[in-house]
Amino acid sequence: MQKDFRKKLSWSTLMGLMLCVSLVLSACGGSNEGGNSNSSSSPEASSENGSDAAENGKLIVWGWDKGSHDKLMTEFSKNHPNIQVEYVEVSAKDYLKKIQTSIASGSELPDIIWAEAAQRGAIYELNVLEDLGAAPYNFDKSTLLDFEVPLLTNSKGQLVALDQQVAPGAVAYKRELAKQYLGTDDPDQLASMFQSWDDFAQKGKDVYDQSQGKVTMFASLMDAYTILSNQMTEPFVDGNKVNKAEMLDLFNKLQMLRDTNNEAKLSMWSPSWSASYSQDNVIFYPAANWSPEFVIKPNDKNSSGAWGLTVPPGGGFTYGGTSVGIWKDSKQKEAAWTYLKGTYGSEEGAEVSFKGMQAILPLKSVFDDTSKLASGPDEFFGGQDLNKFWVEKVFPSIKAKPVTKYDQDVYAASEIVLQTMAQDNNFDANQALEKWSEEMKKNHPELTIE
Amino acid sequence: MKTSRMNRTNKWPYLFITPYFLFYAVFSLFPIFFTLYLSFTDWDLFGNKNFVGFDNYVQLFMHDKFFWTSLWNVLVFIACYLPALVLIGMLIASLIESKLIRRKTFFRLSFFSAYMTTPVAIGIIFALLFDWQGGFVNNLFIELGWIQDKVNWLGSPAWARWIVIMMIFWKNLGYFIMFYAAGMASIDTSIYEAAEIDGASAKSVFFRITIPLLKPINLFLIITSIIGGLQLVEEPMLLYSGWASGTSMTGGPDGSVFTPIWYMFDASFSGSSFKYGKGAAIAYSTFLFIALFSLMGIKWLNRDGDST
Repeated sequence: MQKDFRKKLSWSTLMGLMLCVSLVLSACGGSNEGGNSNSSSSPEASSENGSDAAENGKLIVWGWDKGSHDKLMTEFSKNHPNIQVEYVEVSAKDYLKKIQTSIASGSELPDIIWAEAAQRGAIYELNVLEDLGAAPYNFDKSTLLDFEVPLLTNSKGQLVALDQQVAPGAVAYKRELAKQYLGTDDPDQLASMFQSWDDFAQKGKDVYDQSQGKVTMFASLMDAYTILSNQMTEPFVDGNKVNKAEMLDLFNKLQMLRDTNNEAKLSMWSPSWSASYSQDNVIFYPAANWSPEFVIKPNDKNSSGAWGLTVPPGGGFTYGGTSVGIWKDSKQKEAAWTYLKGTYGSEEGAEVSFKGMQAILPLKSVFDDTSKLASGPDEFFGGQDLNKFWVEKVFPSIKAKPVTKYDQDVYAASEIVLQTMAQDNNFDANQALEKWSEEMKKNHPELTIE
Repeated sequence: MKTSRMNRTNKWPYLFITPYFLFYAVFSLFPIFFTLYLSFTDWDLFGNKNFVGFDNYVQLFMHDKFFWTSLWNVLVFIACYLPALVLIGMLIASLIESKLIRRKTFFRLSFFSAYMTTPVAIGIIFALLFDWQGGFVNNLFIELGWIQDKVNWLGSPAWARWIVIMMIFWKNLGYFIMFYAAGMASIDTSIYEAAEIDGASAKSVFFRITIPLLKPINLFLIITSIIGGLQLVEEPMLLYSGWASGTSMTGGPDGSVFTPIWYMFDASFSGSSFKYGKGAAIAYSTFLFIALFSLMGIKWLNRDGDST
């Protein structure tokens, strides 16, 4: 009896011990979350320290472009020498995963959170960013260029981030091919040649026929999608409701481009797509102000004067770009705000960004005197002044649509649908919308499509 | 007195195995039960974390064609590559182990090297080989005049399935050969000698001696392949991740290479839906099917009696 009892006791002691340890270990993550929200300090709460807290601190930032960050910090540190920033590399592709797994496990997020174009909607909705329009930040959103506001606002209407720079989009073109098939390589003449996408598609058909199928306007339907979807002014999804008319219109335009042989059936961002930059088969590529440095020049190293930039039918759009916000449970919100304001949210920041990274901030004040922004003739682009092009030709027509938490999945679903559209000539816009809706509803059954 | 001595001797083994069970409790048992709990919730990081009972399972089993497609896909894959692996693996192993082949180690290693390649590399290699416009296979076939227009291998549902089957077959063949070769080497040579003396042909030696004696190895390979096959994710995912092909396509064309584990990843982590409850339900459902098909496999292989 006694033996049984002891045996039971030792078993239950062991089990109890195991349970305790497992609970303690597994609760480690959770306790962080609670700890943070309790101990998080708001700038107001620690106002006793005043400027001390605002000018001192070691912030953590997760980012995917160390080169630019370092250049920016060199300039920023001149103004705020006591604010240090520890940079942690997280690839853009995995950023959202890293943020969400950190939230789910209750571990800490960085003081400064980046958000890439397609992911910002989702990051804004995760409720991890401070409202910069509210006290104590009181950032005045009217100082931003008008099209920027929807790109930085969550569904509650709070401004939760600032852009690292404006990311205007237009099209890059190969001068030789344009001269040969479109009769001119002058950016202004090309822009006025295409008043609508119908004109563009028609011309594209002629180019295809004339070159006996060798030359096309775009490399892929995704290239065209990049321009067309970014030119939309309505969000893809409004609340839970898919903007069906807008999506159908988008797919109709893409079908028209497919039917008139305006694309070379490459996969955007694939090795063969990249290789096409140095070949003479595709005339136009979507291009943002970051494209020359990160896409065009690396893929076509040896040519100089071969490229140009012009405005596509439908005008300029925003393409890519990274926004930056403050974690709502950061313990150093004052220093974080000094950093954010001093890099992206003030005239001081505009100067720092321009000196450090040649980046133009989307602040109205920056555009009071645009002569300062000129970048000089770029030989690679046949002597075009690229900054002047963006400021004078693209900015006036830029449109943007509100971001949503669905944006990334919209892009993924569109990639799938356009693959089918590219290879199956009988696959029309209505079928595309149907398939797209099915893909979207897979993980978002709450969506309604009427 | 006797009792206390018993206790002392009994205590130590338990104490020594405790660390393992502690780790097991924290890193396996807890996640297993926590995942089960999650599968009954609608947790999604956007503020929902409600207990929803069997809703996720009902949705999955009754209304979700993607789940059934993914399950069907992996079963089709297994049905295609497993018999091929068993047959061809056994054949090549018996060739390598036969007297016809010298330098056995070289052949064993060359087949096995594919198994050592990481799935990431395999995914990228196959994506580059079968790329539509710039792929090696299309360029080769056009050079040879076998095809006129480039074939969109990765864009066609049927081809996509065959490519995945080929990837898994290519990768695992060496593994199967290794096991069969080891099994064949362990068969007592006196059995073969006896058969030879009795005048048995090479064919009947293979079918009546080698295959029956390899039964335990077959059982192991087939059951682990069924388990691994139902958990398949890296190969098709990397083929369509966009790392090599630019455009990413969750599930491949028409979802033809979508797998349950890929669906779990997609629902929970990949997109922006963060449906952890649904992901957990997919994980548990997949586990149920793995258990079911493994049991069926064991029963079938043991239909004539004991496994050994």
